[in-house]
Amino acid sequence: MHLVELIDVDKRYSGIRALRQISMTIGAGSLVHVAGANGAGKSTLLRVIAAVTRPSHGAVHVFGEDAFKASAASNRARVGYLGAASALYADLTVAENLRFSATLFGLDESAIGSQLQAMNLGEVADQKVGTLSFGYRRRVGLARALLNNPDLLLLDEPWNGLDQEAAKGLFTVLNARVQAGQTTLVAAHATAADPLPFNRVLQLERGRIVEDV
Amino acid sequence: MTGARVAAAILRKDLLLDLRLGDRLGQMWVFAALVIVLMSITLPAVNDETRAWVPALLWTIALLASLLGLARSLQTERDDGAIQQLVQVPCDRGWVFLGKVAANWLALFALLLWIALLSALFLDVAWTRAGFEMIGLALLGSLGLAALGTLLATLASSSRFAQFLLPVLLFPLMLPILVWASLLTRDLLGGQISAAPLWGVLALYDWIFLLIGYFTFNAILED
Amino acid sequence: MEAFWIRSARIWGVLALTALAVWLGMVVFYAPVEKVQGVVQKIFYAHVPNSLPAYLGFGLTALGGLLFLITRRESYDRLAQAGAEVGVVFCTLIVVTGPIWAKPVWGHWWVWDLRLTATLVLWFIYLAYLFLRAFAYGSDATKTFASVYGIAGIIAVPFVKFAVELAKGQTMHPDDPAKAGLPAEMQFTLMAGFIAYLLVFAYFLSRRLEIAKLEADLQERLDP
Repeated sequence: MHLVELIDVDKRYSGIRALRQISMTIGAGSLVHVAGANGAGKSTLLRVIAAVTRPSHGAVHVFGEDAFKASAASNRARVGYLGAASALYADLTVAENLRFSATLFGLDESAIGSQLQAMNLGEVADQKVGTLSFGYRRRVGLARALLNNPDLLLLDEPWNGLDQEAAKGLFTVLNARVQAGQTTLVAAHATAADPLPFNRVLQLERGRIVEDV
Repeated sequence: MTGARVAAAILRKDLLLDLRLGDRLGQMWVFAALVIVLMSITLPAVNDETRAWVPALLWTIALLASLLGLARSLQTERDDGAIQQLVQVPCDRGWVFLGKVAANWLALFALLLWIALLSALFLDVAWTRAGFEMIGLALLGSLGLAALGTLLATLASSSRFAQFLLPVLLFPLMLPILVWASLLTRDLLGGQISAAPLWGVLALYDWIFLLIGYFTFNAILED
Repeated sequence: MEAFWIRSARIWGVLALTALAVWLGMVVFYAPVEKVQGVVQKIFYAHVPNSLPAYLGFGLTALGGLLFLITRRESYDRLAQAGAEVGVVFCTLIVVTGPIWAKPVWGHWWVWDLRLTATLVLWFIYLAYLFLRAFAYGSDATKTFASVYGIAGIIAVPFVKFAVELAKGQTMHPDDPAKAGLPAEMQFTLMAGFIAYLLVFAYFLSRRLEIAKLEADLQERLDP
């Protein structure tokens, strides 16, 4: 069984085609680099797999079920997604933001503590997110996406705004996920040279997969 | 159970924001106060003949003031794409709708209490005569406004012209609630209980739009 | 179904033009001049037949929206949009011809009468629907949003009528004309009006569907 399967997926935004006839599968345990220039469709691809955006055409199967069927709702508890925006409430503190997300996923307090530690956010835990710098907000967003220790993790430009230390922390997390046999898709510019053990690269161009190695 | 937990989490989060910032209630309260004072000064003094107009005036002011709070409620979710989390909840997204409605219901009920206070002060409305039924009416009226308002504010908030679109979408569909609530208020203030069908149809209208919101929110949130 | 409408557009056009000519002839030469109101009453034949196409259009909007939400087929969304646009045209005609008739007969351009008011609110609802479509960013979400509003709108209609009835009380508006004991000539002319307007509705709808389909196909061709 494939963890993710896309069948002939199209996505249109007011006449612009972000994805064109994408068909592919992703097996469990892979670490996939989704590469491509600006506007190639990287973000849309992740959004569609995260079931945040419904494709205009085609089907998306995650964990063997149609991701847009009502019965697949509980599967979303096994997915972590960090989009282009960090998806945080500016007037809640870091801890409150994470607590809100944890409640949505039915997780207990311990998950929050371990993520605060993993992303090195302990000292800002009680600060409002709106007062934090962009890099910090990205880290909170990452902590949120990792909160449920997801079997499928989707990260959109996760290195954006991260300092060296935080980037190192992310490497550690991603490596550990590979060891644990969990699947991760990372969308990042082709130019960002990463020493990560990617075992697959999807090169997108104008909404199509032009290279798959 | 997941659904109820999600709805409760959203309600708690919105309450926390409302209590901490106070901007949402504050904006609605200040706006309502300004309009009531303006009306009290501009309109001729309330006498026995014009008293019948007051309930409709008050409900209309509530509708106008609610625009601020409803738009704000969705703006919080759109800022920084926080709504994406609500799309990802591991249950039917109808529960997200119910959570948002609950939070808006409380805020709008607070707005009605405020308008009642102001109108008692400036327009000489004797709420004591209306009795406890008036609280029931305020709850039903604000529930309908919360259900319709949450649904339509969500539709409007993704547009470039959200501020224009929300009243355009909301007002025609709110007309029945406005009429029934005004009539019931007038009767209550006159010391009489209106016919049961009027209460029933108001409750039914609330219920229908709660259902529509619940069943369509899945598709609405999927961008 | 879409294909049928698009293919039959020209036929509807010919039928509609013919029926309009017959109807106009009947209004001018056949229908008698009413004794009390005089010749002004003849606007009746242009006013009343608008109602059916307007309701039909809005009904299609709700139906198309519902089917779109269930099946996600774009042709249903096009049907919903076409229904709303054509429905608004006829509803506008009601709202415009009503006052033109009312002024000489009732002495006011507008009276807050039950039917007039309810029709006005209906008009607002579907104008709002068109605004919603026009001002959204034009992604798939717009279609979903419009579908939801189209359905909500039609559900609200009976409640709006009930509410307006309570608020405004008795109507001045004449009853259903078929029951009102009109002379046969008047009834036939009115009937011709209903038929002609329905055919015009069918023609407008089929042309609107054709345009929408062409637009969709063009998009496909420009950016395969």
